[in-house]
Amino acid sequence: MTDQATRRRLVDLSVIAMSSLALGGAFVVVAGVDRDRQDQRAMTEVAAGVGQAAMPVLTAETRPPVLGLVPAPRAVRRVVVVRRSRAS
Amino acid sequence: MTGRSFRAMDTSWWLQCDVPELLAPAEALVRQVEARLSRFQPDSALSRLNLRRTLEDPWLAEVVQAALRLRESTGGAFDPTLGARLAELGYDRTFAAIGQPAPAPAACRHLPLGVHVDSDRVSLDGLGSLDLGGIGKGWTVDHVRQWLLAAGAREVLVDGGGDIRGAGRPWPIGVADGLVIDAGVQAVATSSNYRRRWRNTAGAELHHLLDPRTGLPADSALDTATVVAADAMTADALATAVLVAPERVLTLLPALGASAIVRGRDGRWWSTAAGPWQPQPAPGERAPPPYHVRSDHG
Repeated sequence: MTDQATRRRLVDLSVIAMSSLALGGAFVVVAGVDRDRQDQRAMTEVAAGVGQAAMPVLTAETRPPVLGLVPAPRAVRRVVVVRRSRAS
Repeated sequence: MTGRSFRAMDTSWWLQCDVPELLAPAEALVRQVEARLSRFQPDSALSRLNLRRTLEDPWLAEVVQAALRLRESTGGAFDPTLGARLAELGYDRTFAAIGQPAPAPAACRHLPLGVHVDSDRVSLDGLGSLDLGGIGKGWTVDHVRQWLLAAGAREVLVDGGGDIRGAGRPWPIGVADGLVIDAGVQAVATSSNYRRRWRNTAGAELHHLLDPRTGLPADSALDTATVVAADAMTADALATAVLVAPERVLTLLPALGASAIVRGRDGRWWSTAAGPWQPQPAPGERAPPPYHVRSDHG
């Protein structure tokens, strides 16, 4: 390999290395921010639970029409059936 | 495997079994039961009982006895003694024949009815009348299934307007939104308050599921209930009872060996915590080959 080719290769490698460091650093920063947010959320939930009996968080979306019911399982794919039960 | 479709009891029926020559007599059996238990046929055993107040008929006695047991076990949510009230509200003929609006209901009259069963004899005392609409179809499904098996069929499926029970092999039945139960193991029935509806002359919309406490159409948080139980008769009656008094009846289901999937008025599906439904076959299992796949139309 000539000196020129070697130098060009070294430049390429250094560019790649610097880019990796920059991107990897950015990832670390973002992960840190996310972790901080999660910690804050966890602290909020714990704080809400202090001094109270544990209660499920129900919203208008999740509250069943009759107490004791649970959301029906969701179909994950079509299944072939021979008949359907239906009202008549 | 052959199947047979026909209309009876004001709904669509489907019979399927591995002995095709049994299908025609099985259909005839459904019609015989209808002729005995329908309140819309003036010569039926039930109509004659409601008129004469006492009658001897083994099928009638069996169904009435079962209806009274289910009334007790549901705390009255299922009640076969509301026939007169249904007729007052306008449901005094088959639903297909309800053309004219019913007269506006008067203040609800209390029509007490005592029912006594002694062997094959049924006796009534009081003002009301019997209606077996919430249990008769399911009883017929069980009765026909048993007849087919006794006659030599080994694989049987009986679908009476959505009350379904099979035998002899897995029968995947669609329920709710994309779920499946095996009618070869248990029976399933679905009831709703949005199918049989009509208006009275006052413009009020009525439906056929009456609340025994008020004598009026039940005002429920649910509009559809599918019940899975050991037999079709029980599933049929409990599906009605769940819609009439969901808060009470849903808690009773486990002790009765039953479970339910229900739909709220907002269209969302809910279920009892335990149930045999599954969104797909268990890992490692293949779904059985479909003999017949139909749409939702009755």
